[in-house]
Amino acid sequence: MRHGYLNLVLHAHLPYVRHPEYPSFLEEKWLFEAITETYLPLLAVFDRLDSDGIPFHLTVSISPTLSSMFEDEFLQDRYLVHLDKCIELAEKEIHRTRDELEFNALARMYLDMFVEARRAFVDRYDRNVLKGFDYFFKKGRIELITTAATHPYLPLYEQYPVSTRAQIRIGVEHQTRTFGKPPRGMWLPECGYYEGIEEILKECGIDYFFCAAHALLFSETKPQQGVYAPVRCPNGVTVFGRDPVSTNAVWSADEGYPADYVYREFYRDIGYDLPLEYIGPYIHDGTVRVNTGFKYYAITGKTDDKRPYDVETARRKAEDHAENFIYSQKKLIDRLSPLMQDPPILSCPYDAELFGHWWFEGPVWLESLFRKLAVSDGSVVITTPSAYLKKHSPKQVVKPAFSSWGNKGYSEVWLDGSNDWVCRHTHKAVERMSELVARFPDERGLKARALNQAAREVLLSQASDWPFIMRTGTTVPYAVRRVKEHIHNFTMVYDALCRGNIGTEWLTRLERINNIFPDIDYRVFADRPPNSE
Amino acid sequence: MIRQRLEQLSREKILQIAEKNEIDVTPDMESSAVIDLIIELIEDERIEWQLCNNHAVKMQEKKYDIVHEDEFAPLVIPITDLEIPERYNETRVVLLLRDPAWAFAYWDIKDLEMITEDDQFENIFLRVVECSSPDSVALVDSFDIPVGPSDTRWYINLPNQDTFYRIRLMVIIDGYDVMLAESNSVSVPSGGIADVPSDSAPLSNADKIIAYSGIQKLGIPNFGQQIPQRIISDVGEADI
Repeated sequence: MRHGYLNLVLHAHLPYVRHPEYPSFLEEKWLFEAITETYLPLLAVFDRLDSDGIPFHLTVSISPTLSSMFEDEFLQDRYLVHLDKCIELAEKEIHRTRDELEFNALARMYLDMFVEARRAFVDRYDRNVLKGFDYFFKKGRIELITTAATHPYLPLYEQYPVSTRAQIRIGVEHQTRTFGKPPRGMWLPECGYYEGIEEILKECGIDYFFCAAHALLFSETKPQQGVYAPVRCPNGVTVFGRDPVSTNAVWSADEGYPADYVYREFYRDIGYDLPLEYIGPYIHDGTVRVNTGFKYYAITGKTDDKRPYDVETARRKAEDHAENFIYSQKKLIDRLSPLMQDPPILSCPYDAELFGHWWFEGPVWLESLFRKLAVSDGSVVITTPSAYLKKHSPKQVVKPAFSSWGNKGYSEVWLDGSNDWVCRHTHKAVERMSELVARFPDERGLKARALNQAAREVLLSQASDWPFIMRTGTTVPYAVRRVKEHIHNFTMVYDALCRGNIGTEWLTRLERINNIFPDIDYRVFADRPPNSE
Repeated sequence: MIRQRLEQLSREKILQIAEKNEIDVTPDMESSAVIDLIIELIEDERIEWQLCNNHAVKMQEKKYDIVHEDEFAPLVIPITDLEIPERYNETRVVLLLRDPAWAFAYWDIKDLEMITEDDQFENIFLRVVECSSPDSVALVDSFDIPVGPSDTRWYINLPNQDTFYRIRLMVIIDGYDVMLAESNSVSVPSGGIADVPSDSAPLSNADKIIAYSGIQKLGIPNFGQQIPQRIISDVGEADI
């Protein structure tokens, strides 16, 4: 019987957002909502599959910024405060909707969801969600890979190998420290590939990475197996190309599964629907309306007259969609198999936050997919890159082409009239950081602390999230502020080091706020960092 | 929220924003009316941009979507409370590839005013240089783009793919072209499929597999000469 492989990849990433200098901070909700709606539900899916003996395998990339936030005690405390507010609101909602049966049932569902999230977070994972992922990693169920330290869009730094090297190296070291084992694979942020980056990946011990489909399809060497078999870069690093057909079925907002009318409507939230005097304590500063996570309507159609959300109908639909997905994969495998030497591999990377946060039913779909595959005819085999590479080695050498998974396949999202001012400053910061390393190659004490903080600020300024947000228009002032703040902080440290006058109080405050990568060694920005091979 | 932020600005600043964005404003127009026009522009821009967004971007956007109120004002509303230098007073030009048809250059000129105030100063321009390799001195071709003394960045339409470009930052002084700085080279990919079969040749397995790879739905412009339509039609679009 013909068979092919399904290589599911979930890329989990959020930028480093942590503001102890404020009593509460709006953008920290990115993390809190994703923990409740995505990461904990995914772990719950893995738990249920595991306890039912259902075999499942997938690859998960957890960005170093996200995993640093998972481990941060301050954010763990704040998440619990957030959850308690959600639980309080759910209880009020049960009372408010007591005469509306459909909404009341949903309010009770939300109460259960938040209470369960609290129990899992505190009791099961001891406030650190990473422990859940680590458990399934150690058990061999998920393959953990990493990404660049602060998730920069790397093609913008092509002429600064020192910067790309620092980002990749810290990403690898962070993963090794967090999970006790170096990653074999790398998720290039935004699938942003430029020619030659594989040299740095190899130098940092990476065996494989993922790229957009056209990185292979538009290569100067025609890929004989399209995107359905990995290829080798000339330096031996393996590349898996994204299968756009399978991926789009899942995440197209217009024609993909999540757009089905019975699924939960993301944009109808009581944070906007209910009077301020009622919802005030649960939105930002009591006045700024924000999503609360309480959404009572189904997508229904292109209308404002939405139908109440029905959990059971949506669950059945998610199961149907899992069935449909398997059917489509089988069909594709049937067509490809006679044309290929090895069984085809369909690589399907998704943003993890699709599952649960935006597509509320996504975790049900994923669970159903694994359950159905476990009892299917074996024509679709779930795999991970490492498992696949054990059985099949890449047959063709192909130089991938410059590409990303953004609009039109290149850099226009991260290099646009709205955000192109950023590069001038982040590039300068990289140059100055390298200059600092050359001037202060072996510092200790206060100077080393200042240099390490300078390195943190450079890295944080480079996150792809900031130009992305400037381009797409959500919370733009915050993204602009973050870039300016990190460049400003870096410049202050740079000037202080040049003057030889470092303020301890000011530096300590900065270290307390932007505390990512506590073990960073500023010499990672050297042309050849210490301990490099 | 955008309206609130605009309303906090002085009339002078609001007029500056309108002018920068080529909004027609009459002298007697009230500030609130100008703000309406700015917001209208923002909304138009938002719709246009959102239409361009592919699945990956639409998906990613939702991660940051906690406030539905419009905060979409990247081009028009400056955020001024934490300033960083606009430039670093050094002479340089940097070239970044945006896609196989467009590149972006930013530059800076040390002591710009001293140069432009010189009686013999005439003009600043960018010389876009095509070369056969990244380090090649010999030019394949070049063309010039005049820029103003206050410009610091420019998007450049690249005439050719599968080649290399770099930028020379030039001034004309006393009738002579003087190069102030030269950028890095960028390698421009072909932006298309390699080795497209001729009309008469039978399709190879590789061509068929590429068709199944969803090439017609990638949403990637084909910058090269090669049009993969025949591959798609021969395999049968309905099957893909």
